[in-house]
Amino acid sequence: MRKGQVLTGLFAATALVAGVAVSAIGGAGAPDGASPQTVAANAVDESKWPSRTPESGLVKGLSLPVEKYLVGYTDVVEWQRAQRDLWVGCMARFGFDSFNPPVPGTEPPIEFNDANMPRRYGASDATEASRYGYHLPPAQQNEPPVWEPASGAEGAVFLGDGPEVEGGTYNGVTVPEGGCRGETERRLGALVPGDEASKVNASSMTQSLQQPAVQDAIADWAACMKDKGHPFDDPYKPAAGFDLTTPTASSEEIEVAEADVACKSETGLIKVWYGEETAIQNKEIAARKTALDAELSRRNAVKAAAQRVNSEGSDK
Amino acid sequence: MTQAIRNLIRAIPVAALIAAGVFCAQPAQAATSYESDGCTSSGNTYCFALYYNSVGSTTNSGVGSCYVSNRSVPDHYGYSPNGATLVRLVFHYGLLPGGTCRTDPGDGQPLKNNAASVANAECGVYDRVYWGSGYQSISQAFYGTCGGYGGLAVNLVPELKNNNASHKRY
Repeated sequence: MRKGQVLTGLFAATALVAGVAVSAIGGAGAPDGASPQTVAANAVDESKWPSRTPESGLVKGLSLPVEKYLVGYTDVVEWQRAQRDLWVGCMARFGFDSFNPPVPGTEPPIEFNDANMPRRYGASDATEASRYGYHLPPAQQNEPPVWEPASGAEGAVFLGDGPEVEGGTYNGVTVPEGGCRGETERRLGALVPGDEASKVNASSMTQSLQQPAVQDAIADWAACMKDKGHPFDDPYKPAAGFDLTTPTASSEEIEVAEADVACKSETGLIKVWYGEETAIQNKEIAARKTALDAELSRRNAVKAAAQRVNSEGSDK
Repeated sequence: MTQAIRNLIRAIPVAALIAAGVFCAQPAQAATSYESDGCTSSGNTYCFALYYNSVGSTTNSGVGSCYVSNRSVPDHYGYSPNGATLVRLVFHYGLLPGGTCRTDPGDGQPLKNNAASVANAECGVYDRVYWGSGYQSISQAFYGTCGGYGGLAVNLVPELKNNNASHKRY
């Protein structure tokens, strides 16, 4: 079923062994005079990181039951640091001392996890709407640098595949299966939410849209928007009506976003919607608790592995 | 970009698209181009790939057409780089090395609300797919494996399958 059908009908490091200064981010190599091993990752500005629950707007303080089972940003960065640490350490064994992936944690998302509370119900912050429309705030428009291993020997050792590692060795040193990438994966595992958690997080949204209370609240919001001169029947449609790749929002976009948030406030849409989703998730979690707890246990094992790597790194 | 323009563009038959990563439409739609490669065209090969097809039960390598990216995209519909032209995002094949994204199912189809699976081969970067434009609504994140595509593709959760509207790197 397509989205339109659905809605139309309803309407530090942890001290990296190998960190680099923030000012060096984006380069493939270490800054002059600083090897990847010499600069700590605690130069990352953690004040930019998302809080566990939104700190402003109509979703301030809201969190959904499933978030316990999702992967939060702080755990993501811890895992990314360990991944980077293992990559760099492994590559150094083969003489690639300048193997220098970007430092994690420099360009965080606005949301803490896949629940995406700041924008789960569309625009929800009047201040942001009046400044940026549906665009991200400028501080969140930056992206992590694009980086990848160099082609040739570096890439071959990293992936464990290529003419430079014929016979399974490079410069006489045995390359691990799958290269340094494979070695890291085996040691660290993958930090991802389990399938059950992802299902609960997503299905509660579609289920909630079937609830009469949510449908009524959306209808009230739509009537409010129409009264303000913006006839939308779906809270997610306004953002799709503007080019969000422009550097700043147009005055029209800001006007619609302001009306959008004002109507959500006037009609109580988010409060109703969040309440219905919370009830749905509580039922789903109770029904799937064994599987969800097993997923959480596996995720915590991955998290512990990352913590061990980072702890070892901090002693070096 | 007005709704009228979008409606007009939606009326263009995708079958008329030329099979290339980035290509121009007929003269009557000269202001519209089509893009399926937001990654390798900049010389990179470790990309975030969104596939038209689901991952099968016997292989978890995406084989059908894909859209590849190494930047955040706030609307999978497309973008207007200068306000006068429109770039539509579509699936294409043959964009990546190896056995992935190599067959034509989905070729030329719009990216928005048409993806079924993804593979994140970016390095040290998570990519998160959202149900709504502008990074709105429910989402699902995928960690970066830094290389390799074979065996890495995974299906989007059912609620996001054919309901992808934006994605963001972090």
